[in-house]
Amino acid sequence: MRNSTWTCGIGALFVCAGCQTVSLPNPELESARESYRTAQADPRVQRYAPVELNRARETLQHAEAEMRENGNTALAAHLAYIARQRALMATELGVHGYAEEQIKTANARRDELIAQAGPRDSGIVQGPSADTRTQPLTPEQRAARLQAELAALQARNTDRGIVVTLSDAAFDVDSARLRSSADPTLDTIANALRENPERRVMIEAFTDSQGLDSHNLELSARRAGTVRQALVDRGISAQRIEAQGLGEAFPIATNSTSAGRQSNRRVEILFSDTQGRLVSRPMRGSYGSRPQR
Amino acid sequence: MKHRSSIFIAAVIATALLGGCAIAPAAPTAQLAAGRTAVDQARMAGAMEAAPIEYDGARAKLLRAEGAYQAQDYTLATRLAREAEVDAQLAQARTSAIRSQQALVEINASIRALQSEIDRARRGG
Repeated sequence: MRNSTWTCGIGALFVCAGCQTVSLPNPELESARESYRTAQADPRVQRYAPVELNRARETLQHAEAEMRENGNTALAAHLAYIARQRALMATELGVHGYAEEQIKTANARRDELIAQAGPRDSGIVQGPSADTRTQPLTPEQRAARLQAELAALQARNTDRGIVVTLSDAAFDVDSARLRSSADPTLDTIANALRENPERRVMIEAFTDSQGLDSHNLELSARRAGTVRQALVDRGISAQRIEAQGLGEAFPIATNSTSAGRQSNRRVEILFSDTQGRLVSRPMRGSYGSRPQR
Repeated sequence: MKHRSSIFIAAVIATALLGGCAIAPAAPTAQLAAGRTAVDQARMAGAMEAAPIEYDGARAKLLRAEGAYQAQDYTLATRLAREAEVDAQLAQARTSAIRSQQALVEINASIRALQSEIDRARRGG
C-alpha cells in the first residue's frame, strides 16, 4: 500500500514535469506571435491586407492549439512557421497597398504640374489653377483621410491635434542638413497638406540639454527652417507653415541617458484643425520641468 | 482463458496498427504542385532580384520537399512543400512592396523637379 502511494507520487511528478515542458516558451510560436502582433498593429495591414492577416491569425491559433492540446511540438513549430510567414506577408502587402494608393495621388499631382509647366515653354506662366477639380468632402471624411494619409508616419493624436515626429536620424549630426532618408516622410506630409488645403502646420524643433542654450536654440531654429523650406520646395505655400526652434525646452524623455537625449532631439509637425487654427503649446513640458540657466 | 485473452489483445493491437496505416499521410502531390506554382509565380514577379533570400529559401525547401517525396517520407514532404509555398508567397509580396515603394520615390522626385522648374519659371517671368 505504502509502495503504491509512492508510485502514484512519482507518477504525479512526471505528469507535472510534462505540463511544464508544454508551457516552456517555444521559439517558433513566440516568433509567430510577434510577427502577428506587428502586422496587426499596422493600420496599413488592417486596410489593405485584412484577408492575409486573418489567415495568419487562424494558422497561429491552430499552432497554439496543437501545442496546448496535443503537445505535438514538431507540428506546432511547422504551423507557427506558416503563421509567421503569413503575418510577414500581410505586412508587406499592407506596405504595397498603401504605396499604390499614394502613387495614384502622386500621379494626379504630377499631371497637374505637367499641365502647369506645359504653357511655360510658350512664355505664358499660369497662376495656380482654381480648385474646381476637388470634389466636396464632409469635414469628417477629410479628417479621416488625413489620419489615413499620415498613418504610415506613426502620427499621434494629441490634445493639440495630429502630430508627426521627425527623429534626430532625419538630420546630419549637430547640423540642420536633412538626410535623403527623410524625403518619403516629407513627401507624405506635403501630399497630406495638398489634399487638405484648409489645414496648416506648425513645425517645432527641439534639442537635448547638452551644450550651450544659445547653440541649441540656434540649431533647433535652423532645423525647423530646413523642414519648412523642404515643404515649400514640395509646393506648399509658406503662408501655411509656421516654424520655430525651441532648443532644449519641452523634453519628452530624460536628458540623463543617451537614448533619452536622442528622443528629445526631434522635430514635431503639428497639423491645424480644418479651420487652419493651430493650438499653441502649454507653457510646461510633459517631462518634468527644467532648471532655468 | 488466459490464452484467449492474449489472442484478443493481439487482435486489438493488429487493428490499431492497421488503423495507423490507414491514416498515414497520402502522397502530397497537390501540396508539391502548389509549392511549385508559388515559386514560379514569385520568380516571374522578379523575386530573384528583389527578395533573393526569401526566394532562394523557397526554392531550397521545394527541392527538399521533392527529395522527401522520392524517399516516401510524405509527412516531411507535405510540410516542406507547404513551407516552400508560403516562403514563395512572402518573396512575391516583398517584391511588390519594394517595387511600389521605388515607384513612389521616383514619382515624388519627378514632382519635386517639376515644382522647382515651375518656381524658377515664375521667378524668372
